[in-house]
Amino acid sequence: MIACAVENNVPPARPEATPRTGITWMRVYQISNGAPFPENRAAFIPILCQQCGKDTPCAAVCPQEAVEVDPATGIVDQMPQRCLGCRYCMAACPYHARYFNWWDPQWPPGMEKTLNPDVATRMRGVVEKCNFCHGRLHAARARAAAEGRRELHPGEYVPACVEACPAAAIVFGDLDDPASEVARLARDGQSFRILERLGTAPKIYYRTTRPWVRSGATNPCGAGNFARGPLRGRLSGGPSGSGQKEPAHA
Amino acid sequence: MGFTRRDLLTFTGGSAAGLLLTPVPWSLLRDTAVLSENWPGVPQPSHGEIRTRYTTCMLCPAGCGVRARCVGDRPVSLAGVPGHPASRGVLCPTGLVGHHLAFCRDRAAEPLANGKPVAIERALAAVSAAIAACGPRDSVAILDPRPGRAASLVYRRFLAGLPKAVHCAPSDSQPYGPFGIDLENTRAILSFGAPVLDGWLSPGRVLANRSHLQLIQVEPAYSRTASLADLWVPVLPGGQETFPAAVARALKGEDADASATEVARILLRNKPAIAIGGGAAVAKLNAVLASVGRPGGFLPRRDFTLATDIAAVPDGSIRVLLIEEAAGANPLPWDLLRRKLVPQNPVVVALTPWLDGCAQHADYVIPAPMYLESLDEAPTPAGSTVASFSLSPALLTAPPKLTQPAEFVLRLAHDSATYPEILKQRVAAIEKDRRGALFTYADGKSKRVRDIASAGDLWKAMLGGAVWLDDPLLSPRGADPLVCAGPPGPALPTPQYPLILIPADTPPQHGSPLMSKLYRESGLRRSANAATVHPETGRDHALTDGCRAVVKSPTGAFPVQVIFDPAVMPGVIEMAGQGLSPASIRRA
Repeated sequence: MIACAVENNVPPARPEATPRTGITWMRVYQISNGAPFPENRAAFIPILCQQCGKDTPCAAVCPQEAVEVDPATGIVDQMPQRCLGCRYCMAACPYHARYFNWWDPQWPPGMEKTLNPDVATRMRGVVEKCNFCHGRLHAARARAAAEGRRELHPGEYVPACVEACPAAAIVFGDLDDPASEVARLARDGQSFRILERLGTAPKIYYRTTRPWVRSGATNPCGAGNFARGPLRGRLSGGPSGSGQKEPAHA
Repeated sequence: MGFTRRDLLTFTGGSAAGLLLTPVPWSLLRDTAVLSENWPGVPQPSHGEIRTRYTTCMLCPAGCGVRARCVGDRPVSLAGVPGHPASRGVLCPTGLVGHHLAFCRDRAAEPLANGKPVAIERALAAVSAAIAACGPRDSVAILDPRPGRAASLVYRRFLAGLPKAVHCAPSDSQPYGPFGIDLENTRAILSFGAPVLDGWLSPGRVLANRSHLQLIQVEPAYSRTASLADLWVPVLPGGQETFPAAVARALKGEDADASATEVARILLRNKPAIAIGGGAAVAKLNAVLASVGRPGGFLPRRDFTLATDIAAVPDGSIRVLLIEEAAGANPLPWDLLRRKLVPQNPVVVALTPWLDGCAQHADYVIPAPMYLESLDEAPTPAGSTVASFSLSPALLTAPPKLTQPAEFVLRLAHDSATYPEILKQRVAAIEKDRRGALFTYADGKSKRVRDIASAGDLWKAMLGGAVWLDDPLLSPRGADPLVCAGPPGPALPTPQYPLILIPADTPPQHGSPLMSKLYRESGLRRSANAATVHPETGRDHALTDGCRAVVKSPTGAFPVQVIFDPAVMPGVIEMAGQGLSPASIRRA
């Protein structure tokens, strides 16, 4: 969450910001099995834009065509320059992975000098979300082009969250390449997708060996799927995950 | 046929209605959005040449290698150094945004005397006079957050010239004394409340070795480490004192309860194993595990500098106390420090980058440079089995009127040396010993010190980003006995305080404004005023989920918001920022 904010010039919270109005492109939730002490167990699950590949809900409802699914990479891009701030996309997103700029971005005096020059800041009144650090993708493509290549090498481009994760819990790569590690992990029995039954073909896979974690994804309103403490009631979309391996398409 | 007023109105109304059916208003709206995208209210990133620079993180004792992406000379993002022997390419969330600390609002900007600006020379003269006026029973003390640095040597030299002086350190600054932990060869860790997966030792090193470790977490709260451990053993608050003894009995084949027997079975199956978390009982358990002085256990290293535990300094004995406060550390407990001061007219000098913490109680505040604003050093990381040393070159321009704590003490001692010269002497001593190897951050390669031509070359390499690692001791057996800093004593409920308050995750006192992503904007970590109780405990005390309440403990009363959570142990209150103590709770 922190590395993501640094990379993408997401501003710190305004004094009046709350968990509902704050902007965190990747949000980590703690969920529990719902059992009382001492049988309680918990898992952490990062929720970010799931990069839906089929009937992408946010793209379908946007009146401004400010959401675009890149056919080459599969990344769902948000263009703040086109966004009118109607927030239809936020209502349509089953994962609550889109965020609205309620205020102009603001950094403490002097800190604006530490902004990433590769990513533009966003004004108030527009929606933003995870785009797999498209600034990094463009930089990697530029490097490849300078070397006369059209294709990127595996691992040449990774989002900031993947680079920063100390536990190496996030795996990033090309799902269309059957030889890639992400494709291999996505195929094995421990991987699943959140709200897969909606048919939007999300490209984020989660991995777990714990049945209660997986059941939360396939039965989001069922028993055994509880966010703990102050997070209760915040996960309407049916969270899951514990192995926290996230193969993703690039 | 004339053109009437009605015709004009009809035409105007019709045109307006027709215009709404064209793309014109929508285009205007979109263009307005595009134009306002770049209005002056939205800060724009500055551009310039992209460079990579290297330094070492100073925010905690882990000493992680840092790769900074800079625009011109300014860092815009920090990342770990792949292959770094301590951090293994990892930076924690606090370290990732360490370059923002310089822009925090509550930093000290100029020397203060009793809250009013003062020239550094006058502050120096006043502190010198206070030291000179010390009586035969009064002592001068320097509280050193990380003993073992070149700055610590400056402090010790200065104090050696005074009739009565003490070089002291916070109780938790030297958790295992002269020992490091051989994590690479350990197969099981029995942790008594240590946050093993949440910032303990060098996080990168711990996580790199996690896959071959069995982790057993013993604590009353289901912490983040407990949730990621292989086994969580919930014990009553204070049970961390008795459970090690039960495990030791089970290891010897004597009678013990089921959970202790199960833990002993795991430890025997996964040797070598260690117990961590502090306390005499844990030290004894390590003796039973034979984990001291053996591979996979606690191994001694060369560079240990013993400083007096501040808690062991006699109460009412310090006349002049100089407190060095690290940029990333949480404030020291002022109640403890105050007890150590003489009752009449003590002088407290805070050498700190912050205006809160000790600076609030100090007579003199000497503002120190923030992390990345001046050349500094990273001594041996906590838990390392070999001594190490690296420099932390500055990446930011420091504002004026800041003084390095070691420079201030050098000036008090009328020593003409500068802090960089002291660091150079340390590097020269490493080069002279010709032991160990130098790992350079830029190329990820190691080179023996004896292959480096001169001390000047070693200094230059270190300024470019490098860490020196000593050779391990050849015969670690026969080391001193392991002494672990003890945890607070058990807190027992009383009629007045029928519950037990246990510490939950504490937000860092100082950090980048972006830490709001963890603590405010996501709710991932609880706010400081949230008190979490088991629903049964709450109902027994006439509370409801979400209600306002007051928690009372012997140290004070705190307004809180109650959160019911069946995952919390009945009979306890989990609350951030609080120590273990008996407590009561009532609805506000």
